[in-house]
Amino acid sequence: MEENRRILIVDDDLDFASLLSDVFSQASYDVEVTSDPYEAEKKVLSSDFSLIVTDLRMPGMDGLELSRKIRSAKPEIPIIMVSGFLDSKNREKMEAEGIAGLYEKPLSVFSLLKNAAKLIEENEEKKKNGSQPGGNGDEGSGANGLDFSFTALPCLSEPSKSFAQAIHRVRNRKQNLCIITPPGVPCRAIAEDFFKWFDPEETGGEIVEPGDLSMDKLTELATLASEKKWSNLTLCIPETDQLQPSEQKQLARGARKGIFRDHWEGHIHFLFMIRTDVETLYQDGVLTDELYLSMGGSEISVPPLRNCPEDIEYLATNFETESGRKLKWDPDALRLLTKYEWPGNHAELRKLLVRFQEGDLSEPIGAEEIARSLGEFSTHSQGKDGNSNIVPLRETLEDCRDSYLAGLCSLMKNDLDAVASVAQIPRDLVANLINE
Amino acid sequence: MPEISKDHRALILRSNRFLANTLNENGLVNEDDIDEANEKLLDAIDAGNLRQISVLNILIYDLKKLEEKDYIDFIVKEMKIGLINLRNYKPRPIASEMNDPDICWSTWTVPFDLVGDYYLVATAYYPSQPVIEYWDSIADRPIVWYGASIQCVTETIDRVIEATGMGEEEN
Repeated sequence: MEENRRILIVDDDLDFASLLSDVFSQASYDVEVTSDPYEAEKKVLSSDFSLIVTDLRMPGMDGLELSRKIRSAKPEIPIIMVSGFLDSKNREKMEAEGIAGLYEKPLSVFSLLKNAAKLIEENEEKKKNGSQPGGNGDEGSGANGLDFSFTALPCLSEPSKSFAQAIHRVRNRKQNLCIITPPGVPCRAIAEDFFKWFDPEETGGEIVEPGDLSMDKLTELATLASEKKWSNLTLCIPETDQLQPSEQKQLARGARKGIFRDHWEGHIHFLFMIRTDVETLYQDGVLTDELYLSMGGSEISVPPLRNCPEDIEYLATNFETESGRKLKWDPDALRLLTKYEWPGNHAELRKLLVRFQEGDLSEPIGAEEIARSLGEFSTHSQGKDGNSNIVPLRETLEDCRDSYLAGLCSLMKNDLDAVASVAQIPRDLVANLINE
Repeated sequence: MPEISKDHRALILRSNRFLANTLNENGLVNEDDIDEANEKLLDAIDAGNLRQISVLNILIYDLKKLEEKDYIDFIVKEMKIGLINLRNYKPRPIASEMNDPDICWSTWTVPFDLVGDYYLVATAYYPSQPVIEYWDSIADRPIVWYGASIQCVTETIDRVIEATGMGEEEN
C-alpha cells in the first residue's frame, strides 16, 4: 500500500461512518470522517484526497449536490455513493454525473474495498501516464477526452464520443439495452469494451453469436456464471434481428425464466445489437411479440462513420502496413476520405486501407488515387468479393424491377400501355427501362 | 372469444411495452416483475379477452408488484396530469371511431365528453407515449387528457359501450 492514500467519508449516520472508517483504516488508508457535507466540501478544496465516499441523503446538501461541487473543483477525485435506496432513475442520474461507484446499504465491505482500491489505482495510473494521443485504448486516453477506456471507436468526433459516453453511463443498469449498429460498425469490439467496465468478480459478459444460440449454449453460460460466482451476466447478441422466430422466442422466454434459474441464481441482462430501432423492426414483422416485449426501453445508436470525419482521419493515419509503418497521406486525400459516404462504415474503410496496405503505392497517397479507389471500391467491393458486408441494394432493387417489368411485358404481349397501367408507372419509363 | 386483429395486437403490445419500460425506468417495478408480467400479458393476448390485457392490471392486481396508489402518485407528480373519477359523470359518447371499444381496451383509454372544441379523454396509460400519440392521431380535435384508475377506465368503457350499443353485435 502506497502512503498518503487518503479517503474522506461523508455520512450523517455516524455509526455507519464509523464502520466505514474502521474498514478503510484496517486496509491502511488514512481516513477522515465528517457528517457535514459543507465541511466535506471545504476539506476537499483545502487538501488532497484519493477517494470520497459519501451518503446520498444528508440534511442541507445531498450527496449528489456535494459530488457536483467536488467534481467541478477537483474532477479527478473518484467518488463512491452509498445509499439506503437507489432506484434505477437515481442510478442513471448518478452515473450521468460521473459517480464512479454506487452502493446500496447494507453493502459488502469487501466489494467496496476492492472497488475503492481499483478506482484509486486507476486514477493514479492516469495521473502518471498523463494524456495519451489518439484514444487508442489506454485507460482514459487523453486525445478523445474520455475518462474511461474505450477502444472500439476512436471517439475523436463528437457523435462517436457521445455514443461512448452514453453506453458508459448505462453500464450498470439492470435493464436490457439495445444498440443500433449500422452495417460494418465494430459491434463485437463495442461489446468487449462494454464488458471491461464491469467488476469482473461481480458481473460477466459474453458474446453469443446468433448461430450459436441454443439451449446447450445458454446452459453452458449459466454454469459458467455459477462457477465464477457472478451476480450478473450480460449477454450480447449481435445481429439480434437476424434470429429466427423460434430462436427469438427461446431467447425471450426459455432462456430467461427456465434454464438459467435452474443453474444459477443471478440476474441476466441482454445487450441486443440491432440494425434499426425496435419499433421499426417490430412494425416490419422482424421481431416476435415475445422478444419485442423483452427488449427494454433504452436504445443507443452507433453513429455512422460518415458523421465522424475526425475518426476517419485517425483510422487512416494510424493504420499500419505489414512492416509496422503508418500510411502517409496527402491532405487532399484525407479530405476525400472524410467526404465519402461509407455505407459499409468501419468495415468498408478497413477494407480500403488493407488494399492500400497490400498495394504497391507511391506515398504520400494522393487524392487521385483515393478518388480512383473509392470509385472502384464502391462498384467492385459490393458483391464481387464474397466477404463484403455491403449489400448492393440499388443494384438488387433495379434487377428486381427489370425482371418484374420483363415478366409483365411477356404476359401482356409487349403492350406497354397495359404494363404501365398494371405497374402504375408512366408509359415512357416502361419504354425506357425495356429498351435499356 | 374472437381473435384479436393484427392492428389491435400491435397497438396493445406497443402500449404495454412502453408503459412497462416507463414503470421500470422510474423504479416502480423491477425487470423481473416486468418479465413475469409480460409472460402473463402474452397469455392474456392468446386468450383473446381484450378487457384483461393490461400489464398494469397484471402488475397491480395479479402479481401485486405495484401499488395503484404509487402509480397514481407517479402520474400526478411526474407526468403532471390531473386525475378524474368518472363514477358520477355521465359519459357522452362521441360519434367517431374514438368510441371503438377495441381501441379503448387496447389502450386503456376512453373519451367521455366533447366540450367546446375539445375531447375530454381519460386514460390509465398516460405514461405510455404510443397511447397518447395514437389518440392524437385519430382525434379530429385537440384532446384534454385526464389520468384515471384502471377501475375507473373499465367502468367508463363499459358504460360507453352500453350507451352506444357498440358491443352488442359481439354478444
